[in-house]
Amino acid sequence: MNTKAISLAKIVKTYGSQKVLHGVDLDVAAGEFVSMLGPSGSGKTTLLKIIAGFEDPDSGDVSIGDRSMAGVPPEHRNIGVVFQNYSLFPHMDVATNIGFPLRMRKVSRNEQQKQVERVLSLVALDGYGKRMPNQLSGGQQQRVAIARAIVFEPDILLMDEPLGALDRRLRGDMQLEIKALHERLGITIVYVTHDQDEALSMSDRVVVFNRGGIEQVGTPSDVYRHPSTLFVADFLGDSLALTGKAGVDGVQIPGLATPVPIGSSGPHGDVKLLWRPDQVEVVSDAPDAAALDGGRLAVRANVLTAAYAGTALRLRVEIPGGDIGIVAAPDRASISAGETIGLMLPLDQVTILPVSQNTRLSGGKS
Amino acid sequence: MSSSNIRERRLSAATRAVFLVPVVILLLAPSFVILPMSFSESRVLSWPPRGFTFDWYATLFASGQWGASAQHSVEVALVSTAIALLLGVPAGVTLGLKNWRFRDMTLALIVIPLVIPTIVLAIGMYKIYGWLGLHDMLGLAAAHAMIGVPLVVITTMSSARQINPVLLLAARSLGASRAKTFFLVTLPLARGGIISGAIFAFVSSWDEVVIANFLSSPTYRTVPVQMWAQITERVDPTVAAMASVLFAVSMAMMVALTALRWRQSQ
Amino acid sequence: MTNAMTGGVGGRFRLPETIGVWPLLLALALLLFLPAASIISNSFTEPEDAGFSNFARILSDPTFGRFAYNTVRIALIVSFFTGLIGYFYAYAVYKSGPTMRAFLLTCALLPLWTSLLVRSFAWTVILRDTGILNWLLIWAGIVDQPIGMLRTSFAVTLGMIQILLPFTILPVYASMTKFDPTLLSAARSLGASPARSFWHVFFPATQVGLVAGLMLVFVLSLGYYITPVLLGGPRDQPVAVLIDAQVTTQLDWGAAGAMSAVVTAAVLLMLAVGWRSIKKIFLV
Repeated sequence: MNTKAISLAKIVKTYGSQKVLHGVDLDVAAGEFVSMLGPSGSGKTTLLKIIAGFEDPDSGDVSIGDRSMAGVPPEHRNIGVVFQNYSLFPHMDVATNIGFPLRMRKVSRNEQQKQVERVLSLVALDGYGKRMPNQLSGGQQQRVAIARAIVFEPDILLMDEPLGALDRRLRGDMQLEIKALHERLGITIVYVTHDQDEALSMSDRVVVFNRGGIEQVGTPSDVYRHPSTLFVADFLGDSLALTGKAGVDGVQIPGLATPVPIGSSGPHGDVKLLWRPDQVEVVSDAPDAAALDGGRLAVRANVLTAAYAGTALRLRVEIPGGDIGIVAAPDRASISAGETIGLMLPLDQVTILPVSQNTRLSGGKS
Repeated sequence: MSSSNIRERRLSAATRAVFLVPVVILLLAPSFVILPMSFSESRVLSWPPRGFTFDWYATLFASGQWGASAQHSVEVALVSTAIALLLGVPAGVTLGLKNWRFRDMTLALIVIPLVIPTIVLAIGMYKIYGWLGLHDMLGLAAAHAMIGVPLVVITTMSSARQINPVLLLAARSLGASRAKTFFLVTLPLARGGIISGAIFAFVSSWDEVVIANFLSSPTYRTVPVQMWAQITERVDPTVAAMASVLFAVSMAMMVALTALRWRQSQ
Repeated sequence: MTNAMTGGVGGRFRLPETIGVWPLLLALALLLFLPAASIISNSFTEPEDAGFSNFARILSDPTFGRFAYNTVRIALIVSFFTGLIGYFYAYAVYKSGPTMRAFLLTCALLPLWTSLLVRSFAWTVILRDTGILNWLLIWAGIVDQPIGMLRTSFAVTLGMIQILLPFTILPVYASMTKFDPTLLSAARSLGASPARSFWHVFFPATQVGLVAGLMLVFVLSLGYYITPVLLGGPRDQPVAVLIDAQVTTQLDWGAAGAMSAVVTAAVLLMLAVGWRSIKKIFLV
């Protein structure tokens, strides 16, 4: 098998006057689990439809394996697709639903039956063949849909927010099941989601979409720890970001006399210094002013809100310069809104991001 | 029901008696007055019917004319329904599932046949169909198909609207061509509307008289045409018998459709 | 199996998305619109170089004027009564319990299933001098002699009301079932009397069904032929009958074409006016 399962080159798509994809390039390796993550309207679902062949790109090329897919209708692409919900044929029982792609490929009846039973047990639904879709729960329906999409051994499995309609608990279970399935079958999976936790926990690589383009591609820890733009930093989770100005001798921060000696090789001009909550240490005694303390930057912060989040306290804080961000404190710490605390920010773990005009760090979603 | 408190306050018995009873009689009277007349021994259609006899039915069935026209009616109704389905189902499905710039205009063009005065259509078809070589059965079936097809389109369209379009994409991704998707997924899911449409089309052909009057020939007449001729010439209870048969067939269709709907809702 | 169905070729021809409507539109064009257009075009071509002379002729002809007046008069009366009776019948259905509702709806649907010809014929049996209605009136002692009801405006109006009543009952009832009853409670809680909340809240919300039904009834009654011929008198005959006579007895295709053009234009105009509500109620 080729090592490149999917190759997208300069994909452009417009609906009317609205450009939904402008020049997307992406390669997916065979056997890889790639998540396409982004807010709704960012173009990820459109790209999935283009890969599946439901939509044609205005320009650009989709290749699967080595073959260009231009003009190849969806039924000849050998791609399995799992949709968000209710994609089972309501007039067919479970076995007929799963057998459908085999029937289309003129597989013998005996073989069909064998394959259907094989995938039913793969998704832990042995004996459900004679049920009608409306007799199944949402989670069971989605497992049947997955079984149907893999029974014909497609080259690629596309999943469009497959867990979007399920409740939270079930989602967690299904995430593990899909992950296990991927490891067992070694199939290439492209997984569209707007849930960053889902993308980070399941994928080999995450592709972050914004406004019709790819913002960043990388491993989950890459995109989480080393976001390349403020959008990615913000979309992938909580963070604290300080405003600064980068020059040759470091980053100048308001309220600090000397520049912080970092980032001389990085971007210059207006920047943000960014830390994830787990990199920040919350201390009860606040420094009077920002100060360098060993390898760490100490700042004081006002707690705007404090919310209990299971294993930790999620704090929305304001730094004297005006920056607002999210940090975490152990849940046994008793911190409440209105208090002043100190934050210890390790300089060796900082990410320095340029401030561009149209991406702004909003400082945590409420 | 709990939220609809307006419905819980029923109409008073007086309102029912004064208003509903006359309207119900008005609605039903013509449907049920014919049947007793067809069994009356009297030669004229006067009330009350006298005695009880099957003579008029016997006369009716004995006449070769009746047998031939009944056969013609069935032929025309079946063929026109088949044509209406062949043309109307794809159109109804398309109108129900797709949206394009001229969708509204297309829909308007398709329902116009229902409102253009039938006499205008009848004269026009009389003039053109001969020229097109459509005579007797073919001409009648083509004409009735054009009258029945809007009904098929409307019922199919409303069924197709209920189909989740993702199912059609799913079928394609699983290896079904557009044609296979249409036959294996779209059609079965729009079945209810298609069957209703077929029955409506059949009944509309079975009952049609104005166009049939113009397109029939002395050797090829349908039952309504023959009945029209008899009503306007000399009225005797065989006409009542004929009307009762027409009525019975339509009722059978209605019962069939109701039973089907009821079974589907179970 | 992976290579089983992957024999696609690039740049294959694809049928347009709207392919499903094209055969029908083609058939309608040839088998319905062409005949209708050919009749209408007769008004300009019979005799040759007729121009608008046929229109001038029929519009100044008092016979056409009388038939046109009959058509519009009957259509208006029938629309008025089907609207009035249909609305309140639908309201009664709406306010009935499930069993009564099923019964009333069946009564409303039944006429649609009975042939127009059979129903018109049935009315002749009911209304004739020796018919049920006269028999009942004499039996009740209201009259001594049968009163002549057949071949009158009363007969044709009654017949057409019965035939067209379902076309107002059903759309009005459909729009009533879509009404949110909590709106009425809200109106009452804001101090509106039952009558005021009916007229200011319920009626406007269900008006669209009534408008759609009335439009349809009016348009359909403009083209009625069977019922007026069987039930109406000489003063109740509509343009449809006159058109028929032009073709079958006068052999005046030019006049028939001009009359057809006028009626068809009136019908299409009404359809265009009522299109929004008709589409909303009947075409979903």
